[in-house]
Amino acid sequence: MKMKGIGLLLASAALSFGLGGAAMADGVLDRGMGSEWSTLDPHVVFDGATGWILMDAYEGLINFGPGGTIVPGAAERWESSEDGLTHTFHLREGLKWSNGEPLVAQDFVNAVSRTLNPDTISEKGYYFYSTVSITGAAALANGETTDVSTLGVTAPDDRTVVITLDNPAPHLLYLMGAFQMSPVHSPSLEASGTAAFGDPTKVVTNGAYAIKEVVPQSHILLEKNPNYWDAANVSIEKVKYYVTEDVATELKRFQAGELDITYDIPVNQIEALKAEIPDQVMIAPSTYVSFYSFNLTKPEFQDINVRTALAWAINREVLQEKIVKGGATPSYAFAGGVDPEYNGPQMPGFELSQEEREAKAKELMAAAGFGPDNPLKINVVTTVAEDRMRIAQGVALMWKQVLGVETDIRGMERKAWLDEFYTTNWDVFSDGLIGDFAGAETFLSYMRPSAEPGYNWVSPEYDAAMDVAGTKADKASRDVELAKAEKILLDDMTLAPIAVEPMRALVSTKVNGWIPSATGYYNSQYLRLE
Amino acid sequence: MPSDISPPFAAPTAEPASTLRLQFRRFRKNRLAMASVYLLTLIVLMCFFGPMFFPFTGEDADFDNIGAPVNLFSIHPFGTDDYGRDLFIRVLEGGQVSLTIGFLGALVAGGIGVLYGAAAGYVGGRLDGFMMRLVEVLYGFPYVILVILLSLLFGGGTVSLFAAIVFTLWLTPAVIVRAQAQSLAQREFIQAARAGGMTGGRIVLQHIVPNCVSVVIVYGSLLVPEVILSESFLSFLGIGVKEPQASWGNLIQVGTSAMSTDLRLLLLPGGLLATVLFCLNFIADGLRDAFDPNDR
Repeated sequence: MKMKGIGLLLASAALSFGLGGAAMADGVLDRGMGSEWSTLDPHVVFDGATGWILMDAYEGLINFGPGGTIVPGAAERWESSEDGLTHTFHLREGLKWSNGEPLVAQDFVNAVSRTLNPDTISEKGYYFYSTVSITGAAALANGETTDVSTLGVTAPDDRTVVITLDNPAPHLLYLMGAFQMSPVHSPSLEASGTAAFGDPTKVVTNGAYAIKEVVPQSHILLEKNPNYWDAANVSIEKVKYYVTEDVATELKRFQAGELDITYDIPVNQIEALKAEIPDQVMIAPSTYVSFYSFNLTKPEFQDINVRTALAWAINREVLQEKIVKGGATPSYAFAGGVDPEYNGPQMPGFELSQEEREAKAKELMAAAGFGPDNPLKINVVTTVAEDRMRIAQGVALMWKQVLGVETDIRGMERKAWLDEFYTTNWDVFSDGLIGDFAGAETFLSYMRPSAEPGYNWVSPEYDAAMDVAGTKADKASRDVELAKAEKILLDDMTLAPIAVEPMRALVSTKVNGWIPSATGYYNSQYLRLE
Repeated sequence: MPSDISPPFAAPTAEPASTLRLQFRRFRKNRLAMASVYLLTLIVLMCFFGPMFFPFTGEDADFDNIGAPVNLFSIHPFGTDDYGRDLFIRVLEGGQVSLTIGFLGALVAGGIGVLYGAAAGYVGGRLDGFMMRLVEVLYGFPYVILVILLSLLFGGGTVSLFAAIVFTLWLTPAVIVRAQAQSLAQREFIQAARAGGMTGGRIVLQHIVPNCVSVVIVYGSLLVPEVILSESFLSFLGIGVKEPQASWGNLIQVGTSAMSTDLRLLLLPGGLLATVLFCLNFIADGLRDAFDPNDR
């Protein structure tokens, strides 16, 4: 699951009053989700927390079981051709939508073509032409053709989906879940347009749950979908996702029994909670990497000296161990750190000590023409989540101390922060990405200029290196090529790596079946309430 | 029969005192108010000159001493915050911001209110009606929403906060002074001044305003804590002074989020804010007693 962003808390105008009520022993699973959902359109959603709702309401060809393992979803079995280019998925018999209408293979084909259609304005098209390269996907995405019959996703009959790739992709299955590929219920989309997705009276889903109630800035209520093929094994009847903007308030609601699973843990409470309720504090490794992106359209950031100096002036160990204290691992690379088999490069200057880096950073800054009389003034755009704000403030203090840079920290709600990325107002973007699988390619494919033009980074060398990596069928030689591509990215210093983040949540003892999942999949259908 | 005869007339010892001097004499006898004056002066001096005695500012982080505890004999007497910034210096610098906004805000709001009220009260008639209805309309706006709108308009930050506070707090002095001015406008000396050919503007400035001064001083001294409280309240909510700049409000906000683990972050700025507010209110109380003995 590619999740840009994770945000919460705004002590100010964020008026999310506790509408909790008594949540105990009523058969409802109450989950915190941080900031409000960005959208409920399954082909547009790109933030992780909304992804949880999506994973409960929809089901892809495969599903992510306990611990994030791949289990059969809408497809009961699948096979791949010898060359790894053709993949055939066989759907279960008698699949139905939540309104009882039959679900057919064409609904999955429509999902891919809708995601790729430029009119949908989805950030997720890159899954199909960059992370894996489905035949014809790129041409549809960049508008060269509107003929969906050229797409390498076809439905020869109602129970078969065939995916044809240009290059082998060992990680294809990870992109066949609901976050990347929810089927489309075409009649409701045609009748009501995209408004259908957010309207509980109109939305039709195919997952374990159906959307019953959408109350902006408050909650979303899901109810068990009786038409789901595996409904007999779905134990929890109702799931409620609450907007929990402020992490400290969320903790209080958890302690009062209003929430069963929280979105995050206040970082300054982790130690106390570990001592108090060790069995409820869940901190697990994840594929969530955080980094600071520089806005390459701004003249000052076109100078690589400035970018390097800013990246070097951050003391990542102090930042994580003494300031944020949220259990993240300091990182000097972009795509490494989640897959032990991947032997990727580190950021330039990694071999130096922090003191040497800081000394050189000062020289670079002076070479770029900034000094005490002419300090660099920049802004950092971040979400207001507690740990994001701590990182931003810590980094700003380091920049000021080492380089004399004056930083204006602009915290915003998750939705506003996602939108802000496509403006030119930001100088430095507090960025983050959750890998769809524990491998380097999930991150590197996102950085292709064609996949995410918002970075304004143009590098034909990088594209070429990624193309070479795409042709390798076995993981080991693919990783070697990916490492070459990552080196090009890191050497260009378009971003400053920060850390590999852990997953943090409080899970009540009433909830059974919570197994840490690196990719962040915790579908409610596999959980049980006592 | 010897007897002690006291002199029939005691020689006049004190020279005749002006009203103002009498009033200050009365004020000086109020021990609580005087103690408040000394304490407040001490805090103000500490806030403005204290940081000069330290080799760092409140925006410099000491990454070797993050979250240091209270140790009066170390370089960080009250410890550091979660980012290694000296807490004592931050509280003093926050005090600079809060006190400056407090006094300056009260001065500006008071100034606008006095002139507006005096003019309205003196002129009277339709213009007075219009001016006072305008004040009532502005009173009708919900305060916090108005502040949020104004800070959006001014783009946030200290200046917009200041503007928003002044904008909402000049109304009460205007109403009070207008009532005073209305009664003054009928008095003989004003009529004499008018007969003598003084223009309206000069009468307002030279006769009406000076005659309102005791009311203004009393009310103005109550306005200062009100402005400080508004500033802290708005900064606490995150729509006032923004990090990394400190103010008592946002320091208290940070303190409350760490309340259960480290009370020090809340107590130092909170305690200082409470002390200053108490002092200002005692002083205002003393001033009122001194200026208007009938009102006790």
